[in-house]
Amino acid sequence: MSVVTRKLVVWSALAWGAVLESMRRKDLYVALILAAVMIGASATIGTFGVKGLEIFLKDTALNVVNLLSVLMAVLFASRQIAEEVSRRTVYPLLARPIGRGDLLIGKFLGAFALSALSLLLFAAVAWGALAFYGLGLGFIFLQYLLLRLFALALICAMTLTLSLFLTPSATVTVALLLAVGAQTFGRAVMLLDQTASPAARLTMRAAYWGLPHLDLFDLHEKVSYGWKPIPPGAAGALFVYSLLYVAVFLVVGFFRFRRQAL
Amino acid sequence: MSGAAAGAGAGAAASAPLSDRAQNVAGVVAVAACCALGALIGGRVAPVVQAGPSGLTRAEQERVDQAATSSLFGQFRSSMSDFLWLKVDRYVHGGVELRGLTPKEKASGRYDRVGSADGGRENGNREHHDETSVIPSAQQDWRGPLGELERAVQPYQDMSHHTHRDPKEAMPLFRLMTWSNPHFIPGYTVGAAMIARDKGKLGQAIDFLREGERNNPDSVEIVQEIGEMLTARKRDFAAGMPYLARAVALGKARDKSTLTEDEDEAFQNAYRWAVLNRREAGDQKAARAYAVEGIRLYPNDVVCREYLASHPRP
Repeated sequence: MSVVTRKLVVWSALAWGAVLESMRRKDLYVALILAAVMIGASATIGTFGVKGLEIFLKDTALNVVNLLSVLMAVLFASRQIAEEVSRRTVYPLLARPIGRGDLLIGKFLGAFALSALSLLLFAAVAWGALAFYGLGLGFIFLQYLLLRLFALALICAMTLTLSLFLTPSATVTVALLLAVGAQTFGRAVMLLDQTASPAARLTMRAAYWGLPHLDLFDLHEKVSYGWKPIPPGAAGALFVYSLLYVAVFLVVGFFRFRRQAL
Repeated sequence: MSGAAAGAGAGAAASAPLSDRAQNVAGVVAVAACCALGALIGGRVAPVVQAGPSGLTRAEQERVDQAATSSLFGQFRSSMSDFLWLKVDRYVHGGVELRGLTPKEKASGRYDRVGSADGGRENGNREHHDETSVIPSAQQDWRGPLGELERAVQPYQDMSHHTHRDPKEAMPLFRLMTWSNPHFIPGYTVGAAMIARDKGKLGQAIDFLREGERNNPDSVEIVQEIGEMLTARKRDFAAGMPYLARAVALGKARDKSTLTEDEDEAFQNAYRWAVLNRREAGDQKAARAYAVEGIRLYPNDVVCREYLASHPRP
């Protein structure tokens, strides 16, 4: 067995273990019920005879999908390593021919697989609720899903790395702030940039360029308002952008984890 | 009142433990004295600012204010109507988000201009004063490729000569907005203007405004809008004039410096449409009176000025 094949087997086994563990916890079921309730509640507006709320319904349903999928990704990723350490199950794992880097990548893939699964389930609920009222989402909805998957990969890598530096609760808080507050931060920098001193402007622009912009992976408004699909070049650029950040976060995480006393 | 009552209470405490009856009498005397003093002062001093009454009576308003749940619910419905208002704005602009200009942008003149290509208020569209798009154009953007990506993935277009989407689909949002907060006046005025885009639905628009008037009887904007619609769209000058006269009276009853921008605009429009209404009805004397009064309050008003220039005093 070649090194690459062996690595792939190890990573997929670790990822599968993470998926099974989460399935046993029934997190996904709870989130799914929550999504169904939230989307269903917003969709009931249609049953009151208020016609013409298509955009409002699409917007609300996709917002719920976005919010819950991000929340699940952060929760899945934040506890992957932390729980292995706290339950001391990390020792038997590392006693096998598995490096710390393998463990990190395996856990990342597990968290990403779970997040992707939850996104697809939430999206199916939203699509079903909208289809019930005869509302189509068009081809751009597939692009929306693709970009959300890129975003979830980035969020999983970022949260996993943060969990190696911070306590679990701090990890969740910081990751959610970065994930949900990205757009607000971007808008604030754009406004403050006009009035800031040169030094402050430089700092803000550096932060703007350094922090990941998860709002760029959100097509839900274009889907809701019925815009045309985005150019493939833009989707490709976002794939590269996401991949770059995933690599950076995992490399930083690896160096931290390698030196970490367990 | 509180001082007198406190004085009476302090006196009672200092002397001896008075009977309950004596304390009650002292309290009643103190309250009566304060009422008399209030009546005396009220008769001699004209109020500088009068609080605009709401749709509720004072007793109803007090009950509402005292209920914590209704206070919370009031917050919710106010936020809900604001949220829906923003949604409508996004909707008619195809999802493109607009914002007000910063003082620096206003001063420098360097911003992406927003202008309507399909008419303003007369066509049921909101006027765009001092606005720009939240996502800047490539010329105004320092972010390079990140800016390009944002313009590709978020709803964005050049808004300098933009058209508005048919607001038909946004109408239920106005209905929800005014259900959730019946005191949300722009919901009624802009909603009615949007309904009235369809000439066959002018009656519905006026009914919608009348519902707003019932909920907000002292709103200058709503009363003026009804008068304007009856005058300009229905050309029913006799029906429109009482509303315009009432809008003028409501505006005059307020301290002008406390009027909001929308109220002030409605107040000025009330004079304009009153002048035009009376001119078309052939009552030049009343038209002149409104024009003279309008010019006194709004010296640059074009309608009043032109009326006075074209209709010199006989």
